This record gives sequence, C-alpha cells and structure tokens, in this order.
Amino acid sequence: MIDARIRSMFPPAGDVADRVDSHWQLLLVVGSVVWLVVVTAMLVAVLRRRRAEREERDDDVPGDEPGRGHLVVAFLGGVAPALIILGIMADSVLTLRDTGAATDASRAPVVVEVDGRQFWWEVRYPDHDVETANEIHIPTGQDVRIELTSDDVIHSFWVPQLAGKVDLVPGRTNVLTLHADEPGTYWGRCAEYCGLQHAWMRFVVVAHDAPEYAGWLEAQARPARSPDRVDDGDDQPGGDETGGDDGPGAGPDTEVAAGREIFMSSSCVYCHTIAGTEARGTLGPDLTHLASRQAIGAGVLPNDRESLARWITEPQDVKPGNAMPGTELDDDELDALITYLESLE
Amino acid sequence: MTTTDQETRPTAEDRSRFEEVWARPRGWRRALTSVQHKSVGTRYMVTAAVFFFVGGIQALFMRVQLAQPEQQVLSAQTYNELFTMHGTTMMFLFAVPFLEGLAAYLLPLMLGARDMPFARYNTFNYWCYLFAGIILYSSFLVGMVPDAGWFAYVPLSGPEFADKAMDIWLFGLALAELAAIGAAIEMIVVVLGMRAPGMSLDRMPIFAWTMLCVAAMIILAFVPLLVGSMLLELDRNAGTAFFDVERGGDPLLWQHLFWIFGHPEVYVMFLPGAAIISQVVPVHSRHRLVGYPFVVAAVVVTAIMSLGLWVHHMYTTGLPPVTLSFFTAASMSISVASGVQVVAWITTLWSGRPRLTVPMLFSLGFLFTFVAGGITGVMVASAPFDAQAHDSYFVVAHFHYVLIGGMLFPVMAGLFHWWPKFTGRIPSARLGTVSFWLTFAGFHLTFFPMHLTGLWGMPRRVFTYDATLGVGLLNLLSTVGAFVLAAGFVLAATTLLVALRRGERSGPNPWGADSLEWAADSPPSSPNFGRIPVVGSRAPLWNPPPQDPELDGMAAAFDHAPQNVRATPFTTVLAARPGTAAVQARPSLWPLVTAGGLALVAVGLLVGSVWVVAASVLVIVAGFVAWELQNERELGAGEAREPVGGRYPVEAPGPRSPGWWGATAAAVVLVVAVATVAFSLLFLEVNAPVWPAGETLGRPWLSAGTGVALALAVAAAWWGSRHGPLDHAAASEARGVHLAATATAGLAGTAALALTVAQWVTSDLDPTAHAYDSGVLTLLGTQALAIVLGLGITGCAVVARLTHARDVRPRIMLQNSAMLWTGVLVVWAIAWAATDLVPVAVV
Repeated sequence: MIDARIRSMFPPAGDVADRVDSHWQLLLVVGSVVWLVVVTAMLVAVLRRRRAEREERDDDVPGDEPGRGHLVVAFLGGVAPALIILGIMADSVLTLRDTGAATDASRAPVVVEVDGRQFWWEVRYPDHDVETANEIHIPTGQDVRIELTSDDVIHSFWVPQLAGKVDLVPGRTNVLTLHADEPGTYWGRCAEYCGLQHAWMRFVVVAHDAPEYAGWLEAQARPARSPDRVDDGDDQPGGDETGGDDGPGAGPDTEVAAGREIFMSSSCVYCHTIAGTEARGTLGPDLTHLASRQAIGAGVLPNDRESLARWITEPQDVKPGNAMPGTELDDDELDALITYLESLE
Repeated sequence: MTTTDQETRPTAEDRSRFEEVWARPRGWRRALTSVQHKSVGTRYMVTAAVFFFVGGIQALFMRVQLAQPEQQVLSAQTYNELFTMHGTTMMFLFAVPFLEGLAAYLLPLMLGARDMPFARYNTFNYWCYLFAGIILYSSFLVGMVPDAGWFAYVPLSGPEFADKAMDIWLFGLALAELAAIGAAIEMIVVVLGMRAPGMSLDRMPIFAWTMLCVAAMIILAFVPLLVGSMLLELDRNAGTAFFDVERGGDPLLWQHLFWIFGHPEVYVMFLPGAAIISQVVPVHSRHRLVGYPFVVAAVVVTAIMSLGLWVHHMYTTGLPPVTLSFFTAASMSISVASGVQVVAWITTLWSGRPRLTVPMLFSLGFLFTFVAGGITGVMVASAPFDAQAHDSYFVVAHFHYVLIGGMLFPVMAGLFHWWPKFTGRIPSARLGTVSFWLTFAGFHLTFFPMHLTGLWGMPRRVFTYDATLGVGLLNLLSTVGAFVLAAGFVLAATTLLVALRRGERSGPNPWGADSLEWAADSPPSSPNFGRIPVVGSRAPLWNPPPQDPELDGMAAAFDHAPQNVRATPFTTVLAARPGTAAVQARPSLWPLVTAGGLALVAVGLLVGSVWVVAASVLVIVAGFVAWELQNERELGAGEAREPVGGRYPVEAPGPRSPGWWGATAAAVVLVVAVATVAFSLLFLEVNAPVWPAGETLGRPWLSAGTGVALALAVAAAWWGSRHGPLDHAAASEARGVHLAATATAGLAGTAALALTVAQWVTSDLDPTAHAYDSGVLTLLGTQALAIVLGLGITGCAVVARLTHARDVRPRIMLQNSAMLWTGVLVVWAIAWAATDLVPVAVV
C-alpha cells in the first residue's frame, strides 16, 4: 500500500510521474555540477592574489582587446552552456514525448469527468452513471482518462505522485491520463489560485485492484439507501450510532427516516442530489454515497459525526467563502440528519 | 576632461548666467515643479524604496502565518489580499519604477548629457507612477483590497467573481504602465541621441546598452498589458465579452496578454541588475569588462528572445506537445545568453584585482544566487518537469532567487556604489558589510528551503497547510530567514541614511571608476557638466581624452553654454559625432496637473461619477494646452535660437533633434497597442467555434474614406514640414504653406474622426453581444483615440507656427505630426484588416 500521507512527487507511483522523476534527477545532477563549477571559479577568481602587484590602472584599447579573455567568454560562457542546454533540451523533449505517449488517452478504458468548482471537485463516471465528489476511484494498472473542465474559475488538477498538473479552464476540456501501479490513496489538490478557499480545495485518488474497483463502481451506481427499504427486525445492536455495514437497527432506522425527512424539507435539496430521492440540486456535491467518502468539505474535515455537525451548522466558520450556508437545527434534528447522512453509503 | 581654454571662455559672467538658467526652483516650488532628471530619479527611487518596505512587511505577515501548519494569524481573505498586493507592489511599484528612477538619474550623467530629453514628460511619468501607487493603496483605506493575485487570471478577476477591488487594481496598474512606457521613450531617446561627443555605440557603458534594450522591451511588452487591462476593465464595466466563453471570448486570452508582458518583465528587472554588475565589477576589480562585445550581444539577444518565451508560464493550460517542445527549447536557450554574461564577470574578476568593497560583496552575492536561480529556471523551462513544479513553492523559490538575487542584490551593489555620487558621502563599509551578510544569509535561509517545500507538495498561494504535509520545519526556517533578511535590508537602509550626515566626503570619484558620471561633482550640479566631456574609449576616465578637434569644438561651444536656454549636445546615433543642440525643459507645474487629471479620471470611474470624469478630462486638456504654450514660449525667441557657438543649431529637422524620436516612439506605441487588440481578435477567432457570430462590420466605404482622410493628413503635414526656415531667419517664412498644411491635416483628421464615429453608429454591432462586436468597437474606439492624438499634435504645430514664425520650430512640429499621423494611418490599416478583412478571408 502507498502511504496516503505522501504528498510529494517522490516517490513516483506511476509511469508518467516515474519518467518525470528521472528527468528531474538529470536536471538536478547537471544543475548542481554547473552551479558548483561557477561558484568555485568565482571564489578562486576573487581569492587568488597573484595579480596583487598589477598597476592601479588598466589601459583600455578602444574596441577592446580580442585576447584570451574573449575566447574564455565565448567558449565557457557561450559554447559550453549551449552544449549542456542541448543535452537537457533533448531529454526534456524525450520526456515530453514519453509522457505524451502515456497520455494518449484515446484508448484509455476508464473515463472520469472532473469539474472544478469553487472550492470542490465534481467527479462523474459517464459510462456508469456515477457521480461523486472530491474522491476519484481508479483501477490500478490501467490508463484512466481524466477529462477536466471548470464551471466557474480556473483550477488546476494535481496528484503529485501520479502526474503533473493540468488546468481546468472554463470553456475547454483538458485531458490527463492517470496510471497508478499500486493500490492506495493518493493525495491531490487544486494548484491554481482559484479564490478565497484555494488552500482547502483538495481531493484524493483511491486506486483499487480491478475486482475491488468493480465493486466500488457497482455500489456507487446504486441509488441511495432508503430507510423505507431497510428490512425491519434485522438483528443489529441498536447502540451503534454510526451504523453498521449491514444497515441500522430499528431505533437508528427511525432516526434515519426522521433525518431524511429533515433533509428533504430543508434547503439542503436546493443544492444537493441524493439519487433515488426528490433531492435534485446541482450546486453542491452529490451526496448519494456521502458516507463512503473519507473527508468532507474538499478535505477540510474528516468524515465523522462531529465534523458533519460542524459543517452543517457553521460551514462558513470552517471554510469561509464556500457556497454552503449554515443551517439552524436543534440538537435532535441535527442528530437525526447526521444519522441519515451517515447511512448514505 | 580638458580645460585648456577655460581662461578665455567662459567668463565669470558666462558662468553665472549659465548657472542661473539651470537654477533649481526653491521651496515648495521645487517639490511641485522641478523636472530635473536627478530630482525625478531620486523621487522615483525614494518612492519605490517606500513601496519596497511596505511590500516587505506584507511578506513578513505572510511568513508569520505560514510559520506553523494551520495557524490562524491571518484569515484566508487577508492572506490572499497580502500576496496579491505583495506581488503587485514588488513588480509594479518597486522593481520597475526603481530601475526607471536609477536610469533617469544615471543615464544623462553616464552619457555626458545635462538632462533627460523630455524632462517634463519624465516628470509626468513619475507623477503617474506616484498616483498609481496611491490609488492601489487607497484600496486598504476603503476596505476593498485586490485579492485575485498579481496575475489576475480571469474569470477570477472578471465581472462575475471580483468586486470593485479589481477595478482599483486595474486603474492603478494602467497608470503605472503608462508611466513605464513614457520612461521607456525617454531612455531610448537619451541613449540614442544625447551621448557625449565621441561616445560611439561601441563605447557606450553596458548600463546604457541595457537600458536601451529594456526600453524597447517595455514598449513591446507593457503596451499589451496596458491594452489587456483596459479590455478586462471593459469586460467588467462595459459588458464586453473578450474573456467570456459564453459570448465568444476566452479566459486564456488574458493569460497570453499578461505573459506577453510578464515574461519580458522578468528581464526588464534582471537585465538592469546585470548591467549594474557590469558597471560595478570592473571598477572594483580594477579591470575593464572582459568580452564587452559578447556582453552587449548577450543583452540584445536576451531582450529579443524574452519576447518569445511567454508560453512557458502556461505549460499546464492544455497546450499541444509541439507548442510545449518549442517553448521549452526557446526558454532553455535564453540561459546561454546569461551564461555569457556570468563568464564575462568571472573572467573580469579573474583578470583584475578584486577588492572586497560592499558593492563587490553584493555583486558576488548576486552571482552566487542568480546562477542558482538561473539553473532552476532551466529546470522549470522543461515542460514535463514544470508540470510538477508549476504553481508550487519550487517556483516561488526559483523566481525569488532570480529577482532578489538577480535584481535586488545588484540594486544594493549599485546603491553602495553610486551613493557617493548621489550624496557626496561614502556609506560605512563596516555596516554595509554586516548588512550584506545579513541579507545574504537571510535570503538563502528563507528561499532555499522553499525548493523542497514545493517538491514535497506545497502549492503557492495557500493561506495554510496541514501538519501531515510534513513541511512545517521548512516553513519555520523560511519564516526565520525572512526576518533575518528584513533586518539586513533595514540595516542597509540605515547605513545609507546615516551616511547622508556622517559619511566621509567622497569627492567626485572615490572608487577611481571609469565612466562619465564620476567626472561630475558629487552630488552633481544642476546641469551635471559645465563643460561636456568628450569620449575616445570605453573607459573615458581611465584613458586620456581623444585628440579630436571636432569633438573638442563641440565641448568648447557648450562650455557653460548656452546661457539663455537650457541645452545639451545632440549627437549622431552611431558614432556620436557633433550634431545639434537639444533644448532641455525648465521647471513646470503642468506635468503634475495633467498626471493629476489622469488619476482623477480613474477616481471618477471608480466612484462612478460622470461629473468627476468630465471635469478631470477638462483638467487634462487644459493642462496639456498650458504645457504646450509654456513649451513654445520658453523655447525662446531671437537670441535663444541662435546656433550654439555659431555652429550647432538649436533643433533641426529629422532625427537630429529629440522630437523626431519622441514622435516616432509614440507612433510605435500606438501601433503596438492596436496590434494587441487585433491579435486578441485573431486569437479569439482561431479559438471560437463560430466567428463572427453574425455580420461583420461591413462598412467598406466609410472605412476606406477614413483611410483616405488619414493619408491626406500625413501628406499635408509632411508637405508642410518641407517648407520654412532651417535656421533663425530674419522674417517670417512659408506662412501660406504652413497654414495650408496644418489646416488640411486638421480638417482631414476631423473628417477621419467623423467617419470613424459614423462607422460605429451605423454598424449594427452590440459590444455586449459577442466578442467580435466587442473587439470591433474597441478597435474603432482606439482608432478614434489615435486620431484625437493626431489632432492634438497638429494643434501643437499651429501653436509652434504662431510663436516661432521665423524659426525651424514649425517645420519640426509639422514633421512630428506627420510621424504621428503615419502611426494613425497604420492603426487604421490594422483595425480595418482585423475587423473586416480577416474574418471574411478566413471564412
């Protein structure tokens, strides 16, 4: 497993990032050597004293003397750097070609559409009728074609361990290919300043092996769990407020139904969609499978009860300037609403 | 300098009359009316230094916020405002204006001239810049601080997402750009025409070469930004559609316009820095610069190439691989030109006997730092690597290495180097050395860790980061370093200020330097040189003066002369052979009035008051009229127009006087501006699915009529400029011709204006409907503005004729108006091609 906490471009975890990494190592080595040579030459030039006995004044020959100095400037200053640059340029163009070949996404089996929004990511799987937010699930070992566009301002999509950035520009669709070798969670974020909460516009890419990925897709394609459709009398312990994998028991189930009622009768529905319900808003993230996600608010809070409560009641304190208004609920209502949201797996 | 005939000429009376004509105004008048290049240059530098410290304080606040993960010292909003204003301040209010000020102060001295060519215009530019700064910073007073970044990408800066703060930013920016363009025209003319007799181009100091190239870059690069910011302002407040995808616009157009400016801008800051090093290193190494021709070539090549690299700021916008490869290759190649300069400096150090003076320390610090920044520059020039590094702290580290290393360290070297010249006092070497080590250590402690911070995943322009990112320690180091760096700058500033009173007296040339500014007094007298020096080599103070009677003759003629008008020698472009006398302006209030009027227009537009705008326009018009009347009156009559020393005419037609160069440069600015709008239209056309959405302008007869009228204006002005006296004549000459020429040019221009307005009115275009319509009407508007300028200068020709009927002056002004009308004609041709020809031809 890849450590989800790695946010660096090192170590690379896919073809594209790998190739760029080896290009970077060439740049680093050549650059360091050149810098050391130049600085050493400068220090030696300053420190050596053998010309101390020279006269105060140098004669200047009009038109300058075409002596050794000229040759030094022309060769060390012009020709030598030009040769080094040519070498680096060649490797850069080759890297571009290689990564370009890797990003030839026309044959990519998996297509994901990503829309940048202030300040979160809308993620759609057009072939599977799946919509989610701030979390992109991909299969390992396959090219994934990410189609990037924006509905508001310019954003930039960056998963350092997998590939370089590509901007999301209104009116255009840019394409990026992701390819993860190993299953794991890869950290990503917006890299183009997009307004007030640019710092908190994050996402994760979760790579699964093929069967797991298929399972995930299937689960996400289902409409939301509805409390009406949960079998009563399931033998779940009632105290488990966060809900078990197999559905809540009778007590929580009533609460789920109550929470659902609160959701559907409040302003939530104007902005959010929960598939299979009358909530059809499109301004905010699709919440159909909210409980399956790792974080809320594009990475600003972990996805747990306490955070959900803060996010629902005071989103403008948590992430000022995001589009979500605070909702006033009493404690019972809030509890019920969160229980409902946590049932959306 | 030779002083052989000082006994005979000038007499003591000559000297006192000469000093009187060059006398500086006193008291409050001095503050408001002085136009002398040294006072203007000083103002530029002092104002820029104030903005530098303000921008620095903003940086310290940001560093405090980032010292630890998830700190809450600043809100997100405040942080975003601070980084926007930090960038804006450092680029537009510090770096470029400071260098313009340094050039305004030094160029005339280095070249052996007495003032800038159009001293009043020079002052006008300074006031524009000052008002730009005041407008930008008034945003803090009204609580609407710009927060879209110094690059202001649309749509974030567009009508939908940014409030009025953005308008403040755009108007401030526009005024600052206007000032920079004006400063560029000044620099071109002073370098090309006002060099001391004998200072052929190949003997010119590197600093002069560089400022010439920089000035050309400013005209070609800043005009597009000025136009771009006006287009954005139109989108924001007039509802045009240049950047709106829904109506045929494109947000990437802004990025192109911005970086067509923004990349040359980097070299506009770095090249003067390098030029300072090219002046400082030879002096403090006691050796001429090795490889002078290569360095000049490197500067010229850098200037040209810098205009073609802008796309490397846009690698991640989704460009095709061919484009990426091309701009990678181009961007990397430019580093070879910098390599030439670096090796030239090191070879100079190697060949000479370097002394570790404060200017030398800062020069070495520059080399150490800039080379590292140049190398990371090659790295980010590589498109595939940049896709990772772009918009991360790696880039922040890179450009601070280039800008602080490449511009600020040289500026510090230059300040310690020229401080004795500016003030007559030598700053303390001990304190200077300490300030160098503080800034040097503080700089690297601040910015070296940022390379790692970026590679480890921290993007730019984030107000916070979380602890799991693992860059807390690196950020803490940067914050500590920032305070050390700030302490270094405060100490450096204190050292310089203390030297004003306590420094050792320097005499004219404390370093034993080679260039002409060191021949003047420290600080220089108002006219710089009583006797103009003559030049026979690249290091005039290290070599004996040339034995050339022709050059000496001009120096003698201008020795404390002329005494009834301010004037300086105007020499030939290539070889700087003696030519004519260029008149230099005396103090005037009108530059302040007109610049103030412009600033008031901006204020009126910001508060949305038509009356303020109308009143300000009246102020501007009245100010320019008064300015022109004062110009013509003070150019003197009778005796003042007699050739200097009986041989050097006071102004002459053609490129033998500054006006011709100024008019040509103004025409070029107009053409670049219109070409930018035309480029924008073409760019949108290429990228839009349907173009134009409806009809084209389709007014061929009106358009052709405009062209014919403008051609007539050119011909009339040109014809008039061929007649009249070349010298000071006994009686008025060519009255009829001049009357006919100005009347024809004026009427033809008015007709062209009317036809342009008719085109606008009869067209069915709606600027808010589609980007094509917006572009066409903007082109017509620009064309109308250009025609108004042509009419203005024709009016000046009328004034010149009325006040100088017996002089060459009417010819010169008619010739200047012919140059400008030619520019307007080209403007018309470009506008016509872009509005009608290209859309039809492409379809």
